[in-house]
Parts: sequence; structure tokens; C-alpha cells
Amino acid sequence: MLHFSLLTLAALALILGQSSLYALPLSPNPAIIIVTYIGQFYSPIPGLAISFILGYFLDISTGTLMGSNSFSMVSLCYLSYMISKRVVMQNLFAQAVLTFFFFMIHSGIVYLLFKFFNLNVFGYEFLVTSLQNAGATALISPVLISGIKKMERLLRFENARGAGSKDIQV
Amino acid sequence: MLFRFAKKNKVSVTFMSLLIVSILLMSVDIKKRGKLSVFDELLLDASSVVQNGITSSYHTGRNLWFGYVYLIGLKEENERLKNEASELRERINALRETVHENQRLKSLLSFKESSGYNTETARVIGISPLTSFKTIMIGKGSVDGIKRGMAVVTNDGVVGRVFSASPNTSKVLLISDRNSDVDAVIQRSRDRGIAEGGDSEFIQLKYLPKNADAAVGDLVVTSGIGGVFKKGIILGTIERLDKKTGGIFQYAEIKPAVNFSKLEEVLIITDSPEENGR
Repeated sequence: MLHFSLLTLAALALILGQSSLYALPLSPNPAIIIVTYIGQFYSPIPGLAISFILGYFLDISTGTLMGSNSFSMVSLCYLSYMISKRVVMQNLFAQAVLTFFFFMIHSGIVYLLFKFFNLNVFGYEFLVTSLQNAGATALISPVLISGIKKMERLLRFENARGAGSKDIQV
Repeated sequence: MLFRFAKKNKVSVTFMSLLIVSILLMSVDIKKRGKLSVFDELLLDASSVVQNGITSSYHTGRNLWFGYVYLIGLKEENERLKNEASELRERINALRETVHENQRLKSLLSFKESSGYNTETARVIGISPLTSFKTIMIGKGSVDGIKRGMAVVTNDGVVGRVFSASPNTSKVLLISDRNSDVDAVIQRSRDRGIAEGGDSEFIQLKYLPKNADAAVGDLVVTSGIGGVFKKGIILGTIERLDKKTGGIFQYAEIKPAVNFSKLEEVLIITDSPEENGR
């Protein structure tokens, strides 16, 4: 239920981002925040599946190279899962910084995939845009994470990673 | 063995599988770039419904907000433009007034030059509200050389005579007042009479012989006799004529050439009354 709710929330955040946030000078990517959060606090296999679906949805809706965002989101989720024992999104600052770096990693992966498949992408412009959008995404990350936590409370969720359950360390 | 490895490394295997699927997706997409599968299209359509709803809500809100803010700005701008328009109207009005004044003064100057009289131009500063005593107040007085009895005219014709002069203002008795009388002559036939004011706006032409050749529309001018008004200044035109009155005179009414209610500037003929009679 929670995974489905999270996926719905993520999809809504993505649609909202694409529908309304284009009017802003910066384009934050809520999917990065959600994927990073899922990697940190959710069971890895459903988390990876959600990340893949989110990436796939992002691919379809943005019209970019199909699979590039899926690849990137799955990678980010796995990376987030791997570092979750050492780095945790405990406070607003950590949430923003981690989101920023994950956005840049995502941009790097997408850039490399584009280069690998011989698609036109201009390095400097891509870097500048990525930095700006990473900043914007980092700024909204505490808000979105707070929203996810509220949703979790509503669903009386107790975080479960693996077989057991543990308290959310956010 | 493979199954056991997969079971032991579930996360890594899932991760790798999803990466491989992604790479396959990319490979397929590169081959048929831009073409979506039926599933993709369905997913896109489903999302577009939500997306359209959000977009239209966003635009509605945006339009409302900017419409409201714009209207506030519009109100202020409207006020500013109204004030500006009002100021411009005042300026245009002032300019029109200047143009009219210029025209009137030009006419007076032209009359002054053509008549050869020594004159003083004065502005009308007041009109008597009494109908029984028709006077106007002018903005020049004894300091400017204005004396009692001097003739007051415009380029249209006779206005009246100076009735009293204070240092800076003078009172002018209009020709239409019952106390005014001027020796007059019908310009066409040269028949003489006495033009006197009355209660109406018309001037009465009295003592006009019954056999005088007078007709409605004839121009009546000053005769120059009497020493106040010089010869040939227009008094007005005969508006009504009555030859059937008893006695030896006929009676005529003259419509003054000057519209006393619209007087703004006048000329005072400053030549001494003794010099008159040219």
C-alpha cells in the first residue's frame, strides 16, 4: 500500500513538476528526491522497482532517450541504498546536500549515456543547467521529504527494510 | 547454483536486471527513435489527463492572480491617466483661450490702427448685475489717462462711455442703458436720430423724421455730433421699424452691434472730447 502511495505521490510530483514548474526559471526534479529517499529508507527491491518505474515514466513524459532515466534512477536508488549505512538524510541540510549531489550524479549518468549512444548534448550548457536544477531540487527536497513523511504517518507506516522493521531516521 | 547466487544477492541481481532492461530499452529506442509502444502511449495518455487538469488549474490560478494584480495596476494607471487628461484638457483650454484672446486683441489693434484714434485697451473686469443700470467695470482708470465721458468701443462698434474713473478701474455706462443717448445717423440714407437705451436689449432710435428713408437691416452709426463719439462708429442695425406712430417722427429699434454680455476687452478712445468730431 505504501509503495503504491509513494509511487502515486512520485508520479503526481513529476506531473506537477512538468505541468507547472516550467514557468519557473529553474526546473527541480522531484523524482531524484523520491528515489534518494526510497534508497535510504525503503526495502531495496521494491525501492529499485519504484525507481525504475519512475525513471520509465520520466522517459516517456519527457521524450528523452527511453531507458536513460530508468537506468539513472535505478543507479541512484542503489547508490543511496549502499551509502545509507554511512550517510543518512537526518536533517534539512543533509537532505538538501545529498539531493544536490545525487542530481549531479544523475546528470553525469545521463550525459554519459547520451554520449555513448551518440546523441547531441553540449557539455558546458548541460553542466550549467544541471547545476541550476540541482540547486532548485535541493531547495525543495526538505518540503517534499516532509510531505512523504506526513503521508507515511497517515498510512501508519513503520519503515521496513528487509525482513524486519526499524524507525525512520529522517 | 545460479539460483542460489541470485537468492543470496537479490538486491544486486535486481539492480543489474533493471539496468539491463534499461539498456535494452535504450537500444530499442535508438533504433526506432520517437516511436512509442502501445503501453507507453497508454501511460502517456493517462498521465496527460492529470497533467491537463493541473495545467488548466495552474493557468486559471495564474490568470486570476495576474488579472487581479493587473487590475490593481490598471486602476492606478487609470487614475494617473485621468489626472493627466484633466491637466491636458486644462492646458488645451488655456491655449484656446489664448488663441481667442489673441484674435480679439488683433481685431482691436486692427480697429485702433485703422481708426487713427488714440486709444487705451482695457480688460472688462465686471458686469453690473442690475438690469436697470447697465454698466461694466474695466481694469483701467485715471492713472492710465481714463477720464469721465470718454467713448468706449470695440472693433464691432460702440460700447458706451466712461461714467466714472477711479485710479485703477473705470465704470462704463453701456449704450443700451436708458441714461445713454448718442446722435446717430442711418448709414445708407444719412437720416439722423437720437439713439437711446432702454429696458430691453435694443437701442431706441428716436426723433427720426416720418419721411426719413429707413428700413429694417439698415446700419446705424454715430454722427459725430455731441463730442463724445466720433463719426462713423457702428451702433447696430435696425431690427424693427414703426412708421405709424402719431406725431412727426417714426420709431425704430436698433440691435446693438456689440454683444455686451460677451465683452472681454474694450478700447477707450482717449482723444479729448474737444478733438472729436472728425
